Amino acid sequence: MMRVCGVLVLSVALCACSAVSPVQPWQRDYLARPEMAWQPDVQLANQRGHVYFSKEASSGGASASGGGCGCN
Amino acid sequence: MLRRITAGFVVVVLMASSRGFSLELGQLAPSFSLAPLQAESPAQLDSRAYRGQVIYVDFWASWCGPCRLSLPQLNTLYRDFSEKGFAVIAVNVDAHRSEALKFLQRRPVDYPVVYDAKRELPALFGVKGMPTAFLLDRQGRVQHIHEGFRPGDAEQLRAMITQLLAQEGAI
Amino acid sequence: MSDDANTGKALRRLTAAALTIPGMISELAALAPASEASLDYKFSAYREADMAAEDVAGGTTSRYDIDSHLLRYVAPLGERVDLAVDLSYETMSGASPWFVMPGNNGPIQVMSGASIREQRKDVQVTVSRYFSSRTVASVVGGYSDENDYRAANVGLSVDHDLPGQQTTLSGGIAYSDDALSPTDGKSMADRIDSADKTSANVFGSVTQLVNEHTALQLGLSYALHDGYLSDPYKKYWVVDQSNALPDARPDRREAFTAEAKLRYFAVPANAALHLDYRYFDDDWQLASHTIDVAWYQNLPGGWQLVPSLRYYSQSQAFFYAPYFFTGRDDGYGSSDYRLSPYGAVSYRLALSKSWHELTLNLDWESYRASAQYALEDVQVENPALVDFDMLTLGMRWRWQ
Repeated sequence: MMRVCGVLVLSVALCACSAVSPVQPWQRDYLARPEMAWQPDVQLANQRGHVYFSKEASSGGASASGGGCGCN
Repeated sequence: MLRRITAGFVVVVLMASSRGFSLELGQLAPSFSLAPLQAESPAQLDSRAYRGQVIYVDFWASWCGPCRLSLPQLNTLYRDFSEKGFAVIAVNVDAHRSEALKFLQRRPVDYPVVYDAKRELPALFGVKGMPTAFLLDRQGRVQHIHEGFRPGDAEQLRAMITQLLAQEGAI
Repeated sequence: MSDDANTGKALRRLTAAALTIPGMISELAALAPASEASLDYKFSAYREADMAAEDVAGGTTSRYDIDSHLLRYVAPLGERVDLAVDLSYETMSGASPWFVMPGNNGPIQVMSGASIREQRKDVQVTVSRYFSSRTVASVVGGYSDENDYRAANVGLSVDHDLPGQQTTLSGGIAYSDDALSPTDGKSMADRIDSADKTSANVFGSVTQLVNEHTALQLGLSYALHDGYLSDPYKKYWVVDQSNALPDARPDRREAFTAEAKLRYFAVPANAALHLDYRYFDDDWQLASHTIDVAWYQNLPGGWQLVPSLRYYSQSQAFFYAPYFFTGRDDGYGSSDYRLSPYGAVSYRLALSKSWHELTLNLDWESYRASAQYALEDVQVENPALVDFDMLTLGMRWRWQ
């Protein structure tokens, strides 16, 4: 299962990166929008993360940027 | 609309076209001619008209967080120094002009704001982040590149502007 | 049994969630410090659905309720430093699952007795320092206090933009030291008086801007939990002993996660698509998949509507069973529904309205868990799987 997921994640990454076109600092109108943040509402994301964490066996995550609790 | 965009086309008078990417301290800044953001006046703003003044060319956008801070503070500097030979030319690079206008409604400024519809000027200046500003001396040379904007930056700029204004006039 | 037995259950282990760092780099466009201060207040009401009467061996069928007050303050502190303070105060009440027994029509749940009220207080302070427009480092420290649980956590994270600012590398470490002291530990012979556990976490991620509308983030994390990882308020039934034994888990757990997140802005719709996936795998042989999809639809007049959907599926821990015919040789055992195989679906709807400085929002979530939702076939569903609804009201003030 893990291997399948690894392949999946890797292929998504490769697909995305093959389509990469540089985004200049002055072309970030859309990326800068608050609703494009990794966590648009850090407080709510943390609260939800707490609930899932306390009701499910999984926890943790890897996002530090984007105001990430990473526990969603 | 199409006319507006055409009018906004950057009529770039290249001073050093090979430079391309990054403007460095001491270099002459490229001159440019762009339409004002508030389109009431169809006349283009030509940066060459400001020659001999200390110019702060400020690249900004409505979506840029620090710009909410920088525009009002720049306006204060502009008011304090405009009569002594200091000019601010703000270059807006929003994808949608309407958003820039909305921003200025909330935070009006006295200095001229031009709209770079084609978004070519930032590349010519070598903008590395938003906002980025280029402080030019009376000869049009880049004396300071200001990336980002934080509380306290205005005081730092005030000192630099004062110093540059004290220097000799244009050749 | 004591009334205290069911206190604090619901969020017992949640303090470890504070291991992750609530950083402040909220915008994709740049590593930009906060331009102005903001204050957020939220109230949320969390309500678990009653259990089905036929699944419960007498006693109460009602479960947990939690009311939370959350406060978050973010402000620039000088020229290169940001500060964020998170406070929360929660009151919890209700009953919780104790152990599972065999019944005539499948396993039935034995609930703990009547509940008392309990509070939890939590404070987290994050300080971020911008070293240039390319690098930011954040440190976080926090403390959480419940009647029978205390946890202190620290963490450090660094974000760094690679030249060209198309790619951001992030990494961090975090550590939590938790102490539990069951309120009735001294009065019950087979319950511990006190116990400790520690958690260490290391994570890294790569954020790539794909084009003007798209960004992608890939992340990995590794966590090591060490110490008393059992649930002192839970037991498991052993048929050949006709007895319930205390929940017993290994005192070490290693967990690994891999995440992929996508953000896409659909210009014609004026909406943003969020797509998040997480794979979780640990050495208790438990694996899970989480998929979260959200659509942030901007509407005229400062309104925003956000429907979202979350799907979750997990396999079981190796020492889990609804109940045991005979004790395991290794001495481990648990019938905690949280270690059972199941799946869960969450529907959410959020509505917000912004004025210049003020934003009000309303958020509703409905969470349903079932063995039928699991990716893999589940033979016996744990009777205690939780369904809940959560309503959150929030307001944000941003000084401009």
